[in-house]
Amino acid sequence: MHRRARLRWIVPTLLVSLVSTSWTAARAAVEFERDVLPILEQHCFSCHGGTPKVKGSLRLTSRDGWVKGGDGGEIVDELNPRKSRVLTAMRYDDEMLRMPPAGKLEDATYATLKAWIDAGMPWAGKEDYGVEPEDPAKAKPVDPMKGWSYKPVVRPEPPQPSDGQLARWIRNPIDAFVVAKLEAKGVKPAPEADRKTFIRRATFDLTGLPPTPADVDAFVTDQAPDAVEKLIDRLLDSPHYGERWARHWLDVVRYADTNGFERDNDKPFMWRYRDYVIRALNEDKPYERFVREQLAGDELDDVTADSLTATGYLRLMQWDDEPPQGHEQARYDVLDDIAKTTSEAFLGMSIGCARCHDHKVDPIPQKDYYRFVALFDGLTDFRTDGCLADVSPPEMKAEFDRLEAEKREEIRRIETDLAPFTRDLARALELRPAISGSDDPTMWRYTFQEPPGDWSGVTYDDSFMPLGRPGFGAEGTPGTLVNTGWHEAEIWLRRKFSFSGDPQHFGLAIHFDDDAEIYINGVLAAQTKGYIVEYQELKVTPEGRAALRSGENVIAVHCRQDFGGQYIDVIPLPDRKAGLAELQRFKDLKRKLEIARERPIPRLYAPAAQETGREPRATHLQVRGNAAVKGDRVDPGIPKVVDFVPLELATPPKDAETSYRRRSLADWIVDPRNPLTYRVAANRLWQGHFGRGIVHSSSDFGELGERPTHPELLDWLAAEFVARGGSLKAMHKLIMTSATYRMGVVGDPKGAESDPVNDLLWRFEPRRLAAEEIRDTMLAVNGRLDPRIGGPYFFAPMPEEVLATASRPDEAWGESSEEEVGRRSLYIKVKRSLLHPMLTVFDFADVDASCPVRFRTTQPTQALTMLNSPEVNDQAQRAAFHLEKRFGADDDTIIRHLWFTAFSRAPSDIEFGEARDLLKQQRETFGKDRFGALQRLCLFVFNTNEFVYVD
Amino acid sequence: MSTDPRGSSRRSFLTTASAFAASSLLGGRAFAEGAAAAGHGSLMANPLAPKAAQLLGKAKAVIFLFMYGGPSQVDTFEYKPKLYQLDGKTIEVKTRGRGGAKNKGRVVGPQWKFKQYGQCGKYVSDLFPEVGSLVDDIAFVHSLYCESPIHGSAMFQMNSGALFSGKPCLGSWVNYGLGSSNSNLPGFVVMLDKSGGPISGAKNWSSGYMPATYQGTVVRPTGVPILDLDLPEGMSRPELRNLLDRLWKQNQRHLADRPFDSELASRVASYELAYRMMEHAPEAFDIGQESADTQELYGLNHEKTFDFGRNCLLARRLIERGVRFVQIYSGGNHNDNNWDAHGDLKFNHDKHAGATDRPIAGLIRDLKRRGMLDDTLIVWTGEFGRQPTAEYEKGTGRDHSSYGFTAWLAGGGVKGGVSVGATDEIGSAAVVDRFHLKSFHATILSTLGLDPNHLSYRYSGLDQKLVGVEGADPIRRMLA
Repeated sequence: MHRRARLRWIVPTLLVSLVSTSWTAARAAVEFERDVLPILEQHCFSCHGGTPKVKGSLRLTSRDGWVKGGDGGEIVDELNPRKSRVLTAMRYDDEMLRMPPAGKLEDATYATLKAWIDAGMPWAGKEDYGVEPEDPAKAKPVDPMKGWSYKPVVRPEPPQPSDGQLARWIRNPIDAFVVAKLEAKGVKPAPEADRKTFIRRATFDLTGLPPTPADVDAFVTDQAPDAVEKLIDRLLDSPHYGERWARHWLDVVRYADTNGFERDNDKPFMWRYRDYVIRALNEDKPYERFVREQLAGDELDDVTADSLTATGYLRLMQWDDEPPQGHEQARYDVLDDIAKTTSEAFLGMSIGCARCHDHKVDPIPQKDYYRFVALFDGLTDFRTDGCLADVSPPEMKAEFDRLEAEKREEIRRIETDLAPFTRDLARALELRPAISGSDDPTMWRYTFQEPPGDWSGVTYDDSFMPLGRPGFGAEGTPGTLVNTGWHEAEIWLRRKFSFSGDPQHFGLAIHFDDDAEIYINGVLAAQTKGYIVEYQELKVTPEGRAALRSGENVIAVHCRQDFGGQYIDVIPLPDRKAGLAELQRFKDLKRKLEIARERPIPRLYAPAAQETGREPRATHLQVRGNAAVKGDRVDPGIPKVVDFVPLELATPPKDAETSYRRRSLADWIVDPRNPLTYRVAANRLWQGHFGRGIVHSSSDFGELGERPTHPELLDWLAAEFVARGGSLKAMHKLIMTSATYRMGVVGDPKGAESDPVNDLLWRFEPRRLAAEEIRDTMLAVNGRLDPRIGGPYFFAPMPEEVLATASRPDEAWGESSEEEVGRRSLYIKVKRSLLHPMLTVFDFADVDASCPVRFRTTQPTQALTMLNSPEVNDQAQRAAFHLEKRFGADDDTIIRHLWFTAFSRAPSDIEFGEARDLLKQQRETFGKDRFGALQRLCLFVFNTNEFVYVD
Repeated sequence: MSTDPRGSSRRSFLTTASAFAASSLLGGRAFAEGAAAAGHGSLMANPLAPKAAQLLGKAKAVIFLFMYGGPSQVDTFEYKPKLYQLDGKTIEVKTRGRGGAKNKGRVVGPQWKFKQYGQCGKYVSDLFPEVGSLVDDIAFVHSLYCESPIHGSAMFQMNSGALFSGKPCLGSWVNYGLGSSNSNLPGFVVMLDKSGGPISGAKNWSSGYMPATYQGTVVRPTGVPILDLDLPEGMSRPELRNLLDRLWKQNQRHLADRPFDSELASRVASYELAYRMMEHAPEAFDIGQESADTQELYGLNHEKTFDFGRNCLLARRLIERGVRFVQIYSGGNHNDNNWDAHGDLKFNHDKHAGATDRPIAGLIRDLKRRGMLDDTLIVWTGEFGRQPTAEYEKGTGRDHSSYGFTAWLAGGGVKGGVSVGATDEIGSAAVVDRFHLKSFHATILSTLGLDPNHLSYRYSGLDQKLVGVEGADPIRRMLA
């Protein structure tokens, strides 16, 4: 209290100092130390300067710090102090920026600080009250590999081993690099794997499936010197190659079929992107093209259905249709996801770290991040419909365009025929010109209040009622032609019509919603109950008919609204037959129009990139990644650290609908001089074959990433990849025909001792099959594998226990046909909130963020799945049926075949004995029938280490 | 249980390990090598092996009671006397929920009376008389806020600190930091409401970028407690043993030719672990072993408290057996199947508080009498709170609010009988000692001896933390 009393005195004093724009420490020294400093100490210093950790790079312990500001830019506007951002923050006006976070300052405290800022922040006492942060420049040993990945790729010469034996081991330059390291350590490369091992390794590696017994047999007996080359060519030609290697890429780009979050709805036709990747690989699309198509397939010189489909890449991210922090923040969260994934997938840069502040370790300032984001800032926001583009193949497209034009023309024709009816249905059905004395005979007098007196009578004076064009009602009521609004409970209508001739030829047409009474010349002529949904004939009572006169007649209508739609229209038909024929024509035309409109054009759609126009919105730096707090405007660009290959921003053509920024980025990424692109790609290839990259952190080539184990080899591969036109298949063959890839799994014990993790590549390491391969191999063994490539996803049976974890268990999953369930695991629906347990238990990629390499865990839950799950037991059951069907009662043939399909080899004598014994014991001890016993034998095989590990 | 995590995280494993004094945590292949040495059927070195905490912590296990849907703070634990008088009046107040941002609304007065309890004199509403009687063991925080008033993203934030999925959950972090001391049971267990899972299902107990070893395992109170724990049809225990022995023989021959691949030995051992899990896990779920008195304490004798009571009792049995983190959901599915009281607040909260008050109190009392409360942390929270004003023209329903809400802690490392922070007079937003949700996470980690600003995991070029790269300090006044 005492303090507050003093403040009242001090504030005016400080305001006085505002008169002078300059300040001196002397003038306000007493006040600062006594009144401002304690506030700063209490509310600011703990986060902004008093501790070694300084939030937002904002140090408030010195005047200098107040002037400089932090990550978010300046906090004090020296020219206009009252508009200072720090004051806004302290007032808690801006939801996104509230300081101090623990609670709003008391008014008096705020006033003190405001006055102090107004006064130009006079400072006194110590220059800096903060503890100096630790010296960041603490001497570290110089790392010769620092910044290695940003340096240009220079194709190194393969080294020559001094040892002749080692020189003879070399099959291609890859081996020269590998053996040089081994020689230096005195470790010998492992002996070559035998043929059976090799074909199993290569087949799984390239197709994700086991070799068939016939394939094994053919390869093992192939005496040709180029048997290995032929094998690899054959495997690369298999369409299953694209499936297996697509999955590697889909992990990196976080492929999923749904959006995630609360509703986790489908991304319609997302699978076309998945199929694009499969196709691109099978066609051996040059890597350069593969990159361009995904980033900018809509901006290329030659846009194709395929290149448009590829831009689905830009729509893969998780997406919240109910963003908690508003649409602007959500937009930049999506762009962040895209920028992050793009920088990691194509460049091995963790640029996402610079969203909120300058990268702590890598030379990526925050500004570079937003420049990179600006390259994508032309993209339209993602929508529930998935941002679909027409990706029909060109030849079909012409046909679809023709169908579309035809459809448009037909609709136009029907609409022309319909026009007289919809313009004035009464006139059309009455088939009559106007009667004398009235401008428009089909107009009605109407009122929503019950008219006094004999309102339906012939002589009633209805001139007080306004004129309205029929029908009367509420828009949206089915089958109606609303011309005059009626939203009240009741309506009364009157009009005249002329009639002559036989009253038997008179009729009425009506549309009502709800109950109505119709009077002719004051006599009740018809009555309706309920409602109808289109115009119909209404029977006239004999009394009504009798009331008809030759010449002018009066028709009066009363209608009541109950609930839902509302409408009334009555049309007197002087020539009933002709009028009804016209009514029928009207209805037929309407139906035809509906059919014409709904006729589908079977175009193919896929999620694709779309932009808002040639000129995207301005991109700003965002303070601490907060889209609501904008900093300086930034131009699109690439990180400075790699801009020795300059980004050339293309000018979009005049008729362009996009900014061509993505095209520019793609051009820059695929530039052969780009130091990252081909190193990263070559490394991913290596990782695919050896389970681990030359750089283990295959999406992080930055300072915090791992260093390459073989930097020269990596550069050589990168250079070779460019030289071979970015052909993945050429690289696969190069790698797989190397002596390095052909090594066996058992090698020099010296290697095991000095390099147990095999960084030097002294042997080939066995590989645990991926989740998909385990399931697919079971399908291959039980003869059920459906080899169809691509198409919509399917639903593998989902255990009820797992469904129960969804918030709507009944709607969470679907069912696919028996046949479809035999398809490869790649096609199981990837639903972000409900992944298949058979996949997740074996380390399926996390689908929400880029997965550079899958984990390889060994857990008892995997054993539970393989032993107990209905899925695996069913696979074993089917295998048993399949074997029995093929080989009948011959156990030995069954065992032999099972071993061949599952392990690509014949059973040993011991194994034969044990398998026979298993079957016998199952029957005799555990009471199984023949199928039951065979099922257990297959279950046994599926559970062996040899089944899930490939040498 | 062994793991060979992918290369990039191998180093971070070791980095983290070196931060633990006297830690038995080994990185990457070292696990597998340990396993190879250990041989057939023996225990393997294991990423979930117990680890020494970084700091001195009191709690060793967490039971996280998730009031899914968002309980109303002003009707449960934060007493706002003024709000009763305002009932029915339309006032200016900033709110934001699923219905968007509003600047005024009709006040719904608290639908229950508040009474003072305990030495500390804490006011608690009539929804929670049993929990009320234990306030001297509880530390309340009334001034939490977070960024999302929408279930899906708010659930992610409460469980993993981020508004989107892909990050490891609190339970993953705790197991990563401390390991589990029972290899026959998963270290991170989740129990759901019988009406269904929460929105986004399994994403709420995902290990994100960490290996699956750290993800939550859903267990079921009836039938087979863990997915695929039961033997397949027609297989007896002796038959399984026989099958495993045959597998062992076959795998030994395979192993013998591959002396350098310890992972293969780990896989053999994992089958023995699975076998033991099948043998021992069901025992942990057998509440028939509990005395009638204990069952009564948890409300198992009453229909409305039976389900949640049984889950609380199971949680105690699980942490007794070394499970590190148990999360129990009160409420599942959508609408009134959880605390999401948009329509009739009275009906909704009577139902859910009625189902949980006694079981929660029973859990605290049971832990206390067994001397377990000192090293067990109990967390009670929703994903956010609710607004002081009505959502619709009529009725008592309240929309979501993330501007200020209440959570509480009890047990290990927690100071009882305290209340930290407050919302404004009507409960619309935190104003006194506001704490971002991440401070709450930091507080939880601190009770376990984990330093929220140092417990990190390398992913995507960053040392990721539960509390974010900027870090967060615990709410010290809640700590003993």
